[in-house]
Amino acid sequence: MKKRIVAILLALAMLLSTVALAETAAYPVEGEGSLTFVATEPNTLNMVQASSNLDSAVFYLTSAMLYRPYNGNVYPELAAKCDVSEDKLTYTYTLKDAVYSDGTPIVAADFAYYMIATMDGTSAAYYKNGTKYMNGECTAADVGIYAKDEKTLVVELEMLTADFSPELEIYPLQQAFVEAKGEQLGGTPADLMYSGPYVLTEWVYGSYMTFKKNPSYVDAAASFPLAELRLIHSVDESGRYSMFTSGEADVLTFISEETQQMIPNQAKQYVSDAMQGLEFNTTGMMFDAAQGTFLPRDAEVTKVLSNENFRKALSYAINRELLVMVINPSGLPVNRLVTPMAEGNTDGSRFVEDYPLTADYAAPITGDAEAAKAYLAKALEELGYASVKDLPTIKYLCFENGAFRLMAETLQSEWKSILGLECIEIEMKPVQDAVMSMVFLNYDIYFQSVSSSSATPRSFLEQWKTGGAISDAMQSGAPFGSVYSNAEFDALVEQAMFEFDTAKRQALIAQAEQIMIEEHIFVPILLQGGYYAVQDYVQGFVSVGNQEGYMFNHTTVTK
Amino acid sequence: MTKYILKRLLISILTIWAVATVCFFLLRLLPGNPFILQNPLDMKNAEKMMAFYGLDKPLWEQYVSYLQSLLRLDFGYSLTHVGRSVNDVIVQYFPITAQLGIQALLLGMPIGMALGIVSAVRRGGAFDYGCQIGSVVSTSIPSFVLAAVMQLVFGVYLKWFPVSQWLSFRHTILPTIILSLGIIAGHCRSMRTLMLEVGRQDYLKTAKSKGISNVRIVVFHQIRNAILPMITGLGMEIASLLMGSYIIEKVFSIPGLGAYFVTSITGLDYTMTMGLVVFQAAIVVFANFVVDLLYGLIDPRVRIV
Repeated sequence: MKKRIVAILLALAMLLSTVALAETAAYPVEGEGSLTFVATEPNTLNMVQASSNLDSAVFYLTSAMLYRPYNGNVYPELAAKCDVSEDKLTYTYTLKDAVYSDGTPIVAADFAYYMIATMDGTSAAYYKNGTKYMNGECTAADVGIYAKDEKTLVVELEMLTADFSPELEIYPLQQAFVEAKGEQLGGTPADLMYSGPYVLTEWVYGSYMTFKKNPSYVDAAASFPLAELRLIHSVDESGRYSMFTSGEADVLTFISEETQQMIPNQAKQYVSDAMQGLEFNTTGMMFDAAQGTFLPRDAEVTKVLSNENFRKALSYAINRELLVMVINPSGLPVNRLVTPMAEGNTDGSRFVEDYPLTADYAAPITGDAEAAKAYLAKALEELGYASVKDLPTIKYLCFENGAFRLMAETLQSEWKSILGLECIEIEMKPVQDAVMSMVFLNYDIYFQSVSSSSATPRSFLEQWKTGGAISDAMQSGAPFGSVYSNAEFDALVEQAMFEFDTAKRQALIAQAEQIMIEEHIFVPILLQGGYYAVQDYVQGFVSVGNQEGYMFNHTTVTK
Repeated sequence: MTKYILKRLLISILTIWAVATVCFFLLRLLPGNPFILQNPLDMKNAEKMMAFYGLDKPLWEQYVSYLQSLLRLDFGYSLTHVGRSVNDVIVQYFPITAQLGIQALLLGMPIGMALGIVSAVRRGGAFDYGCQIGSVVSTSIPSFVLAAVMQLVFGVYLKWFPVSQWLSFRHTILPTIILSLGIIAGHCRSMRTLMLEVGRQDYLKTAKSKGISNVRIVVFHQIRNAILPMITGLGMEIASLLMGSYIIEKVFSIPGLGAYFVTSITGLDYTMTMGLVVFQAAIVVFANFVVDLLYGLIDPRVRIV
């Protein structure tokens, strides 16, 4: 009997200790161990001017957040609670007690300042008077983002939309500090304020950055257990491989296909949020930057590109599966605009499963040569050409870069062999030159990359809405962007913005998507993929699915 | 001598001004906008940034302001590496690049010259052929290939040296050796050719007929006369090494100026490119100036009066 009681007590003790460990997951505040990872260093640590993922990846380490994303979820960090008004237009955030590494308290005004200072046209539209402020029609004080007191941040919306997520992934930024630093802000470790898990102690540009654990970080005891992180900036593939195999690096945040094959056990695959596909310039215009006006492009080429059947022929001739296997094996071939990862109508379901494509309007992943030929024949008939030889020369604008060049050449070859098209010419330009040509609509066909990062299916599609971020140049008055404009599509995207019923909203999005797919103005081909590598002794490293992403929230090293 | 130095100084200043002016206008001819390249879909931000940096002003106004800053030796702030001034970048990273270049030169030049001398003395022998083949091989293999192989052999397998970074003297050994291989090959071939050319001169035949020993002829006559033309090219060589080797810096993650040079051009970072070009021009001008003075000291025939 005694033995049985002792056994039960022991079992209970073990159970309780497991539960306790699981609940606290306590890490030493000062941190333990160090980790060296290879990644690309940021362009700038000036929070106001930062624009790339590289910059954000470092802010994730050096700054606290109102809500912190991690591994596909978002958790409150400095937000103790969020009260929502009855009309759902006002969000009142109460902040936890927290300080910067120098002991200065983090106050609500710091978040308000950050939000207003970094607002762009898209985010401004959500907040009361945001767009007016961006257009210079009111002052920052009139914007619906303000600190009620040191601990209370108030965010007022311009209108009720289904897109707004109250879990704001924002950083505190002290206005006085920004103004005192001026142009120097974010230039060196001394020109930053630290409130996050780590303090940047060294930044030798072009070489390395050293981060030391910040004991005053609000969640120091429960996350980011490593005492030191070292980012080595290396853009050379052989150097990265050598560093990893010699043990100088513990994590490589991105590696090539070849390197992946040499370290298959440590290499892991990710699919990024960058959707790549072909965009056709059907506007017949290009922007002349010198004169500040639009000039006409070749009318014959525009006529051909504006023909839906011609675009369909090009799209149906592409075997996306084969193309991706050859050019970017870690990528994912796609033939639709909503990504396979997008959530569906219910928890756990996927949009692409709830709204499957039908073959009558979308090109199959493996292509359909016969359908492509039929579409081309229709196009030639509609355009009045006797044969493909009569088609005008169409230029495919391409970066002077291995993968992009290979993609262009493979597509050119597929179109030639399946459709007999010899009129597609590749026009290669240095990256900056090609980007400017795209911006000024100086292309016929362009291989476009569009990030779907943190976008809902609706907000991703909204980019093609007339006047949207990459929308019709003529109507938005900006000399850049895509070439798409469709009133029905615009209406559906707009309607979805104000539809709070998930299933109804998703149905509207599916309809909008179908319209765009049918028109084949932007032809999706793949979601870019890649590889990263982690040594066996590293646990809990999270890649965020792009070349620059890294998360060390619960990473430990047991060397 | 003073008049000569002053004249050279004036020419140097004019040269730097010419380089700065040509660079300023050439850069503006490049298509594109640095801020659109950073974020192609945010034209409004690009316009805001252009205004912030004064790039929306008329070109002549920008040029005048640029020359005024240049007179104050202020190269301005980088357009792409926000928060970094070009002066700070030069002060911080030029010493690293210069160290790499000087180490490579100090290692490569004497070895290359010594090999060239011995090759010439033993012309047609196995050593001569070995040196010639070695020179061709080391100049033919691209430095990034050599670097990758040496990283693997000496860093990964033998673990003699660190694979990358620039943290201690040990970290500098591999990149220095790789950079010096080209210098060794170049100097070896040049020195060999010059030694053979000098060896055919009449004054050496005279020296031999006087019964002077071969060692003395080589050391005091042949080498001294062969070395002079090499000094002429030394100025440019030093200047080029001081501005770094982008490939070596890239492969070994060395925080030098080479990376800034390349990324500033591809990213249309006008201020950074102009600052670095003017700085390099100043180094080239200064190095040639010093070489000219040295030349006179070494060769009394061209001594400046």
